[in-house]
Amino acid sequence: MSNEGTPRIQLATNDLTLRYGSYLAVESLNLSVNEGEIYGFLGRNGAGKTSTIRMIMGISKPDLGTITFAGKTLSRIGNHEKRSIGYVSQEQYFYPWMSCRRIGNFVGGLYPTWDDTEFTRLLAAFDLPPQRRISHLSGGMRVKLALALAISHRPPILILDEPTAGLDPVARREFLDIIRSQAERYQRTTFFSSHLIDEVERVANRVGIIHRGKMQFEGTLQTLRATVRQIAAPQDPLVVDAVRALPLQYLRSGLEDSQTWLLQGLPEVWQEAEKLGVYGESISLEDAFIALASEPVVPV
Amino acid sequence: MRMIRTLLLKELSQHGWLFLALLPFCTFGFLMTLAVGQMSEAGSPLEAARLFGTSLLLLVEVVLCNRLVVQEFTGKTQLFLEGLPISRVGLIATKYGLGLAVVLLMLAFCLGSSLIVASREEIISRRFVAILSVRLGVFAYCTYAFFFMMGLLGRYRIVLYLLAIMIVTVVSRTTNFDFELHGPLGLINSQFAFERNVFPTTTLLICGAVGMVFTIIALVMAVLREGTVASMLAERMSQREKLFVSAVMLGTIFTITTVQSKQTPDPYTILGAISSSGKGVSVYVERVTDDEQQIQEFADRVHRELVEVSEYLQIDGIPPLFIVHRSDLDADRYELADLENASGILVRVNFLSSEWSLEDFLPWLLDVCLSEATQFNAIREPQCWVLEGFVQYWNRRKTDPAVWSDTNKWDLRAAYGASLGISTDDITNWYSYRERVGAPIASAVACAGLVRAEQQYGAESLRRFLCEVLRSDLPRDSRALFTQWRRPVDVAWQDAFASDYQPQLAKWIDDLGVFEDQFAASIAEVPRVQATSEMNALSRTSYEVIVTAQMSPTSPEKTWTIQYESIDVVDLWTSDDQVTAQVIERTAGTSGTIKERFPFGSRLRWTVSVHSPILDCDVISGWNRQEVK
Repeated sequence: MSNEGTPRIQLATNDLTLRYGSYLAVESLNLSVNEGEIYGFLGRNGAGKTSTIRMIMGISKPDLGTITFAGKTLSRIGNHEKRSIGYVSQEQYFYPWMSCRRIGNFVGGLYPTWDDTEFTRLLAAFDLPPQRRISHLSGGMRVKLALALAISHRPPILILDEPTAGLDPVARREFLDIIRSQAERYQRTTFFSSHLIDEVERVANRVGIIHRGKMQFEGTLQTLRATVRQIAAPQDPLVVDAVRALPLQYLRSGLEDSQTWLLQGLPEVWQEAEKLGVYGESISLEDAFIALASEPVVPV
Repeated sequence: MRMIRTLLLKELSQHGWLFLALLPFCTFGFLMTLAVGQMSEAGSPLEAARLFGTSLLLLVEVVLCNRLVVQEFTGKTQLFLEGLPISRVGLIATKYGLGLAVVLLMLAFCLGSSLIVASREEIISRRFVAILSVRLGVFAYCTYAFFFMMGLLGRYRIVLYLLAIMIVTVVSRTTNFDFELHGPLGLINSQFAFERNVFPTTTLLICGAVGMVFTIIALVMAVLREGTVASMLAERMSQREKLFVSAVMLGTIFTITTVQSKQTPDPYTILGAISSSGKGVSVYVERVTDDEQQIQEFADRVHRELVEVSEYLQIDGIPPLFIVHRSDLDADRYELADLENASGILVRVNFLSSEWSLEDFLPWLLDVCLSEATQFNAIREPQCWVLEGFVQYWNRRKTDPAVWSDTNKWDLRAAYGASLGISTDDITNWYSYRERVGAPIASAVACAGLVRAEQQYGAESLRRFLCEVLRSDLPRDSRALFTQWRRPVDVAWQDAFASDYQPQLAKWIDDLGVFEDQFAASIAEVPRVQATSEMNALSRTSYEVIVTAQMSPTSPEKTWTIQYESIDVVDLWTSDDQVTAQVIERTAGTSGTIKERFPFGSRLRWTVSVHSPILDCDVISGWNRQEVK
């Protein structure tokens, strides 16, 4: 991530829309990923994360909208652009008869920038026996192999679609550490989706939260904490009036206490609210995510 | 190019062993075809290439498409490829091209080998080579494109294959459309090895276009909705889906057979035939002599017989009978013609021969007519003894003792049959028993069973049993199967005689033993025939068969007969119509050489028969089936 001046956008979507028949999977989605940052794409199962990533990867064609990649705005990512992207899908459908070495040879044949020495190094670093058949690898090993394949052609951007789904806690932690160290070492832009706030919190610089195909929030984790807050005693007429008077968006009632409200607003709005006697309490990132990625509950 | 090269390398390393395995398999198969074709004098070594095209090549195409397409999609590995810089069209085109190249390579090898062998026997012009190559090539392209497209239909491909076979079967059976003349098969029909000058342009263009359509459909399927259609089709069938598809398939078969059975073709016609009709039975006899009265009497006699039988059995479904004269047939040879696009029963006999015997002809005719009237239900093995017994029983029942002085000949034949050994298993495996003892003896044994039932339970009970087993009111479609299952012969027996079937069969066998004792002196004079065969190679491909007969006691007849017939590798059904009888003089010894020569690898069935004056029929050594080698 560039700390000097305006960060350069590596990847952005512009009103990206995808329909499956009458079902709107992604609706006018806008996101932007800055060069060198780790971007956590959060959302519940079925929120539209994979559909968005499939459009970004050129696997699905958007019904509307464009994708900006490395300065070029395209209606669809082509093979040329795909050569500059490393991609780890949600499930690994490798050829089971291939060995780790052999699949490296196969994938390497498709990338002019393939670095075989790097692939060999990564296999060793990830404890992947080169001659072992893929059918004999565990789930965690397969994800590591997918990552090795995705980064051995030295792509400027790495896209990972819920890569840790199905991994045990140790393997997940190990994988996230690899992602973070890779991003730091090579200043590689990393875009990864997840529905687990703790792993995003662990590695991401910025997050985007998607719900029902729409972007609910995009920014840093600090901003997320600062914008989504909880207020107590919402039945107090003074509080109700203050909330109505300010541009605070009601999200839902409290997760554990229906006598509290979760509201979203800019930090300066919250400062204004305090002057009116409405104090927004900080909540955990997980609560903030749930508030943004769940249906609003009507206040009692 | 980088993508195609990488994909090709991947396909070769994934399926290379299959290509290597197919090569010797096809080479061996083709060389066998070539060798057998040469030995059986198929007409041209090029026939081997044609046979390869219609058999092994299609198998290779199915296997290739299954490996290249089905395996990729059912293994979902195409989802892995989607994330790589590979286009869907490029992926599918690479697979298509590789498979087609393998097919054409094998075809080129087989055609080239056939041409080399053929060039030693006939002149091979360039034009001829071009015609052969184009015909085979377009055939292979069209069929390969079809199988490739089917591969993309995933879990429905097997169902669609079955549906396609059903459609082809129905079309070929219900219409005059000849698949050998049109479509891909028109390119490699029986003219393939012999058409030297003319390109079948129209068929080539049609097949080329059809192949192109299949190819386009395959490509569209592969890219439709970002490849999700092909992916979804490749998923395994759910239990519910399997059940639904099975129900649809069975329903379709049921419907087709029902509709087909309703479509009765027009009756056969004999111009100027003399007829005798009435009471639901029609008999038409060819007018071959000026003596119309003689033919009319013949027609009336046959008609009367059929009416009596149909009234006795309460049958109203005897199809129209057409009798044509064949002067080249022996008087005791009766031929049943196969009517494909006409209804009725057509028989060919030499009824003007001086040796003609109507009394011998009628039991055979009854057998044929009742088989047809019962939609061949009567000749199903568990109950076919009933029909065979009935035609003799009917003859015996009507016989005036004054005319037939030796009515005991039925019992004599039955006793002889018993002396050759019989068990209740022989009754249920009737066709095997009949091949062992011969038709006259077997029918006499069956007749003895019916006579015994009549004596024990009465004539009316027997009639009820016969009416049930030989009923003609079965549905003329697949529903007949259910009716037959519901009413097997043992149930019919139980209903008619109120006794169990199997114990009665055992008692019947015991009674035959009594016959055997009663007529021991007479049947001791009837020869028991045994025979062996020997095959002599006359050339590399041609064999003669020498049959040696042994008879004990010696037959008083001056001749004995070798009966034989060439049969297929799988002889599900044999008919005595095709049997050739070769008479051997006793003075010539106990061995005889069959006049016909047999190619290596062919099969024949044969027996030795000799006439027994005591039984007034032939006795046989039992039919043997042998491969010529």
